[in-house]
Amino acid sequence: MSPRPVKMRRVGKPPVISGMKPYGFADNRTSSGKVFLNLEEYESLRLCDFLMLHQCHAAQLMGVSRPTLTRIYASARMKIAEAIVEGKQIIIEGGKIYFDSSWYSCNECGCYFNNPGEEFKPDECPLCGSRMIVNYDLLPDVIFKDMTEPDNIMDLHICEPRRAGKRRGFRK
Amino acid sequence: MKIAITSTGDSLESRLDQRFGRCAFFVIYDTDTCDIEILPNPNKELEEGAGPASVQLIASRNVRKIISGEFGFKVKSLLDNLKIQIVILKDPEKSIRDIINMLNH
Repeated sequence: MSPRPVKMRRVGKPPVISGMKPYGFADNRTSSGKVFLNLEEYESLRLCDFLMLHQCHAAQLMGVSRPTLTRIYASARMKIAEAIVEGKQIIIEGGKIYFDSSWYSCNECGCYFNNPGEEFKPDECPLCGSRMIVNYDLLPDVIFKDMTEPDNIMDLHICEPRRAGKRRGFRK
Repeated sequence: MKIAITSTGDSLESRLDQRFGRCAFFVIYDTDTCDIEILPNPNKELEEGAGPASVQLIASRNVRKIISGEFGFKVKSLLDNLKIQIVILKDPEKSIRDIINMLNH
């Protein structure tokens, strides 16, 4: 049996550089190899470490499951560590990815819109200014049950943030 | 902020054009000064590449947001790179005046 094909991973923002080079080798070498960081690994690093998102949230933004995100992230950290410890050059390329920003839909005027370059939910509809907007990517039937509280809509599919002194997994 | 709206005609009473690349006119509305500029679309009759050509026209006017009914697949990645927001409004009955009123909410 053939294995299940790898899912396409969503990358919100392309990297600003195509790689990084080490300098100042202790033993006067000029290079010691390369590490190829996939774009999906780059994205996991950006979401988890730079934007400090939780892995569940990052996984949703990338369109993969939480365990998959953790694997991508672990591999990214191993590669970065290898590059730093062994003085290797980092090249960011490849990966099964597509670039996309999240799509939202407004319940007031019925329009759809995206938010290029932004990771977080916009406050209001760009057309009519209504606050009744939902994330179109995560638009299962559940969302329509609780339309009366627009502030809760976005949080439905995002893991409960971890708070000190509070047990996880319970909602108010 | 400048907003482009695709229009079927050159007046405020005309309807929203449901196509982006091959729309008849672009209405460019400036939310800060309330200026309205109407441009005929020179790419309307192009056989191929009307979308990217229209993106170029729109981008040269520093538009930050585009309102239309439908966008082709070539346009999406271009607009993402230019950080222009896409707003899809599937309502062919809406006139340009209605949309400008909505924008002034």
